[in-house]
Amino acid sequence: MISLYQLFKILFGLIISGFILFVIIYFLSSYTQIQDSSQQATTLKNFLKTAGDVYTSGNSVGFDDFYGKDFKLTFDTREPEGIVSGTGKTPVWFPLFFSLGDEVFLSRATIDMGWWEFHAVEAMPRTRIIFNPMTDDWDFLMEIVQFLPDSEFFDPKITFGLCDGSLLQEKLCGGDFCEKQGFLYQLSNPRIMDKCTVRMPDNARLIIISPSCSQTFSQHFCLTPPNTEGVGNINLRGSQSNLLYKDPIDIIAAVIGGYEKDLYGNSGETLYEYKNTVFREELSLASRILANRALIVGSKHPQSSPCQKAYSDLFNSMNTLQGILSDEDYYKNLGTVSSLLKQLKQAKTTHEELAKRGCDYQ
Amino acid sequence: MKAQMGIMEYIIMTFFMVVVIIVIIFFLIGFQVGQFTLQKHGSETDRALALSKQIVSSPLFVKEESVFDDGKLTSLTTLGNICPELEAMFGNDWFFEITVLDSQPIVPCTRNSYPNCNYWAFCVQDENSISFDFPVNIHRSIGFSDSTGIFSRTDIGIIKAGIYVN
Repeated sequence: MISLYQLFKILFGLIISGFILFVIIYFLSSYTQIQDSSQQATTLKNFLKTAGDVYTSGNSVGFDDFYGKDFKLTFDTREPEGIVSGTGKTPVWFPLFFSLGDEVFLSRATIDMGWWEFHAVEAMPRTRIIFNPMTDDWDFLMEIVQFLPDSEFFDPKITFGLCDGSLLQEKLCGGDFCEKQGFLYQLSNPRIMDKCTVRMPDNARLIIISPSCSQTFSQHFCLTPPNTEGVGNINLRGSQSNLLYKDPIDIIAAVIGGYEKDLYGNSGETLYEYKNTVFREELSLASRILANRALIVGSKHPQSSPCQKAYSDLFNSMNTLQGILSDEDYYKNLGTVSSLLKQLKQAKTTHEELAKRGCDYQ
Repeated sequence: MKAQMGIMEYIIMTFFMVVVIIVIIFFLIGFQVGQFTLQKHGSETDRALALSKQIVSSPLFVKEESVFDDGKLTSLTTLGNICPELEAMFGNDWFFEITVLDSQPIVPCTRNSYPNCNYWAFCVQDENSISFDFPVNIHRSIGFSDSTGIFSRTDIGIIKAGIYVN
């Protein structure tokens, strides 16, 4: 028969052990959550630092810190634009188009307008980009490829291929998958291909180039070749909108975004609108700076100097650009986009004229 | 009496065990807070450095990487309160200043003082900051003139770029 004292020892021991165990487990679970969040925040910080380095230097790099981590990232294009993760929203201060994966390849795409450049960082996981050109205008296809990442000597790989009806041609480069330069060498025999009927794997992006996208509206990405003014249409699977493109980066943004739905809508459409918003903000500021610069520097040249007229032309050109960009929805209207392209060409010519006359640098 | 002594022993022993566990928990929390503070300082330094790299390569300010365009800089300083627009593009709470190393008194660049000026400042405030200083080139569009025309020149200067911290 156990004594009261022994019973007390047993019960007291059980209660205290239970309490201590509960405190330790509770603390450890909170600590684990904090460590997980801290690790997520560090990984995201490293990713944005790497992307920032790619943006400023133009040097491509692979990033594999996402491997083995349960990340759910989305891009919020409401200002300030940023990446939304489990640890909140992290602002991004440069144009970034990304598609998440365990490993991503980061590279920079640039539009050179002569007097200004627009840079954007592309971040893609292992992706197979398949073209289905239903037209024989392959110059346009090659122009798009020029703006896609070149992952040679890096991982993960961005590879390219063609689809002709039921035939998927990916191993075009000596029996291996083609990367960017290798694929460009293969595009020497333009021909009209049949509509692709092959079922695409998960990591593939099918880009159809067709004179009319209405029949292929529900298929992946469909592009119409640019008209004489350089404007064409993008149709995304799952989106009701008919998007206009004026440069290859409009297309790249939509392709990288894909056609999945996230919190903010169709992800490709979200990145497309984000690209046009940032493009407008940067171009507006750049044109204001150049217009004012033309006034300040131009006024220091003698009246009789040909530089005065050249700077005056540049000033007028920049002012016209600002007028076009005053419309926030400039990228949705065919007339406005055509005017913008025309004015950008004019501004480039005017700037080149300034340099030819020895009034300014190229 | 002996039983009571035994009970007291258990209670005292348990009390000390709980105190030790609480001390360990507080130590771990304090260590983690210290780590977060270090990480915050590291993040601020990284941000200041990233901002510096972005500024010396941005087409809004430069002719080419690390060669600032004095016309663009003067244009920015004369566009009024440009800081909010620049902050929308580069983030909040940052600044940079460029000074030409010409051994002359500091003359801020304005529409009137250009090109006989040597200093540009953007978003400068009187607050604690982390900054980096390094040499840069400055392309002077109106460098010198003679009977044949106006020519550019390149000066050397110092940029101080940084972020404000609490």
